[in-house]
Amino acid sequence: MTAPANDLLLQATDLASGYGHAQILYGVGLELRRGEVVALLGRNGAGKSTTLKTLMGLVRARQGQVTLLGRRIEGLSPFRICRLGLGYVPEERRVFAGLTVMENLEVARRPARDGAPTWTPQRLFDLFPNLGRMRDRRGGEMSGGEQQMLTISRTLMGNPLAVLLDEPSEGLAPVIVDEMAKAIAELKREGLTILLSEQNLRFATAIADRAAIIERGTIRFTGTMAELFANAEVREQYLAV
Amino acid sequence: MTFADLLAQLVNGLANASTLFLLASGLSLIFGVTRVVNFAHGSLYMIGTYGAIWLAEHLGGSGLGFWSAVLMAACGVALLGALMELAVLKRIYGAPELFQLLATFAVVLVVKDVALMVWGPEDILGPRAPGLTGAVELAGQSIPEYDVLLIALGPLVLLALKLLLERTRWGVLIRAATEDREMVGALGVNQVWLFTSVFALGSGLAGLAGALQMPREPASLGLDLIAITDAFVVVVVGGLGSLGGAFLAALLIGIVKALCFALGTVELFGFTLNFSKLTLVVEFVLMALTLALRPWGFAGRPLRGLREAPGAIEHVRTPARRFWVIATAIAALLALLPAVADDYALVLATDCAIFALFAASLHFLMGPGGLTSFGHAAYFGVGAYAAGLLAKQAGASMLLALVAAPFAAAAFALVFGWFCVRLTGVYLAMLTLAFAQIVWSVAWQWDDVTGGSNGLVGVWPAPWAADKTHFYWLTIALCAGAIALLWRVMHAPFGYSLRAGRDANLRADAIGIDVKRVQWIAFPAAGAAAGLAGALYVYSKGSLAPDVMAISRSVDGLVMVLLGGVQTLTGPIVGAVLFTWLQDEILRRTEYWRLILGLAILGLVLLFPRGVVGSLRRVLRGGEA
Repeated sequence: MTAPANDLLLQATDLASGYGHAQILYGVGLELRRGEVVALLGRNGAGKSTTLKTLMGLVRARQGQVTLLGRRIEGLSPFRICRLGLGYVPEERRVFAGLTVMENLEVARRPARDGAPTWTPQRLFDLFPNLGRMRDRRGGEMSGGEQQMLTISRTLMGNPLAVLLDEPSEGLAPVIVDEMAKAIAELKREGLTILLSEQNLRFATAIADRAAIIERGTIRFTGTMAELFANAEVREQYLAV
Repeated sequence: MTFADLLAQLVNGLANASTLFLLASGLSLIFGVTRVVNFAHGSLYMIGTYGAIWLAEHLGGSGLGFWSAVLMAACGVALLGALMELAVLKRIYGAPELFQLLATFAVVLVVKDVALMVWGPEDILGPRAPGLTGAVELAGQSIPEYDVLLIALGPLVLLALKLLLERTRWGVLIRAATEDREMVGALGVNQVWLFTSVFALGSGLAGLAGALQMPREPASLGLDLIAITDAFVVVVVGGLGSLGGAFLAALLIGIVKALCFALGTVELFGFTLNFSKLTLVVEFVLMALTLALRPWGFAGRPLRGLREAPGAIEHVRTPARRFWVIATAIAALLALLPAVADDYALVLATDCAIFALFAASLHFLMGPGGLTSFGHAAYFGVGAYAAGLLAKQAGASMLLALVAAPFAAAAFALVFGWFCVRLTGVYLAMLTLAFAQIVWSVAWQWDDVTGGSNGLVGVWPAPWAADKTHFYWLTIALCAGAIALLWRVMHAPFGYSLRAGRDANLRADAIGIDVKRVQWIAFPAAGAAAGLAGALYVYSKGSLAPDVMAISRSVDGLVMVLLGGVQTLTGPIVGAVLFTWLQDEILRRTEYWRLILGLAILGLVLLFPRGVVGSLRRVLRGGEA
């Protein structure tokens, strides 16, 4: 799938970051076009989560730049980046355990945004019917799958242009993973742009248009999913366990 | 004791519980969201009392004047709190939490002296509430109307706060931020605004509590530390971040104190027990009991990630050979000081050495141990009293007293430490404070043995050390020796284990280190060093009073360690010398030494968020991250 260049939504160039003395990213470059789902693939510790956190401003970029709709965002605080239209769904889910489902959604509520789908709790409950049946349940009393639905819904309440989705299939039962894949495909139909970090190639294949492979903090491959499947060498080298 | 007496005391206790709850709820809210242990909360309370009295005088004696004064004082204090957050704390949220603590200590110092400047050193009595000066008859006892009002106010404020937190968007954001503030930020909430508003609300509650106390308690300059310790106790007993828990804890403490007053002196199994003397200590005993049984208070939960701030912890490096050469050279230079210094400078230098040892011993717990102690003065004080009592009551020689004092302090530290290491973070710090206050109140009230508030006088050094120069040499030798010993222990396998337990508690446990045991042993080690410092202090002054182990001494110790920098070996020594010298230097020029010192500390904290020595080292290394 190719998109015209003016549809470029998020672009990272030469991004470096890390924690304390440990540098994790060494010049990461990524592009995300409007309406597409890109899978960021790589092994454990390759730098997937750190890439998403750096894009979101949760980890400071030491070098390189990030643009959202042509506007530089590296160095901004996470709340500003969120308000500019980037949503973040953390790997550990991080639902507010003491808050109910409705309250969790309330925290993230932002005004409607041009060029992005507008979400209300009701629309989210249509997407995840399970959540609608437990509006007053506290986040801490929900199962892992339910928390994963809540954390995605919560981020959508900000009506983001693009969502950074960190390993949504991690730690979930296979049947829930399938449900999650369906929901994400549905989000894509709504026109949401998604950068998905994954280790689960099957899950990524089901929903992604393009793939970027990260290894030791550098992007080693970018291409369509079809190109990735045609390239056994790349898959062998970077994804085989 | 009659039923009527009990009732009267109970009403008084419940009225106190209400203001205590207002005060503590503010502290709890602020801590919950910002994770700042705001030592200046008591100062805000004090400003509330002073401000309300001052305003009431200027607004006239009508009911309108009184209540306007209360409200204006509360709002003014809320503004002050927001200002403090904006001007100071906002800039250092990224710094280690101990630094934020130091900044709030500095605010305590500044506020105290500003209050002294504006309102003078004398206690000021406040007006009574017009229209509420009467009493209600209850079971033949007159209950002040104002107390009835306060008793009703506590639950009302609890209800209002609950509604605010449960039913408003602001409340939802606050509760979310209490759990995971980074995530709240990533969801588009501007925490800067949230934090400032929480500070304003929490400070306003402290101001309101202070203002409401105006007819019941005179405004005095000691209110700040009394209020902050009371508030800490309530918050910790109730469970950090739980308003309901704080309410219960305030009630419990109010009632238990009332009972102690009501019981008075009781004959029990042939012993005479004066319960009213227990009021000073009973809340700390309650806190110690609660924490020993329920480590997170009545309604608290374990705190997530309180001590895991990334970048907060740096390595304490093993000193190079060069370091010991320099240290020995400095010691030699210090030994030559009497050749050029007069008596005054020698006494000051003696003080500096004593406090350097005190600070180094506190640093031993805080730095490698990661065990923040808010009550380190206890060991200093126990050492001081052990030496003083041995000399006065048993006629022991100075040498014997100096040898025995560290053992006495270590024994206390062994007992206190056993309880403390079961807790972590702020709870641990609070328990150390509780133990220190218990020891302090015993020294204060056990007249027959400790001399009570008068203390002990005439504890002079042995003739061979009586000369200022000789005593200075003795102090330098003992302090330098003890500090070197502490450093040696830090770089022995024991020290490595201690640091492993601090940096990665579970992993250290998993490789076979009994972390709790290692931490426990650190307590008597640090306690002995502090005890030696205390004993030397008694002999240098010739007398001692319960002040040697008051909370302000513990705070001084913390300021010394944090000022110098907790990540470095030499930090606490530089901090202690700087603090002692500055205090003396400023005190000679102005009575407002706290103001100057507080402003200096604020400046240092904002300029060097790693402590003086840590920051200097960074600058010298070229400032790489």
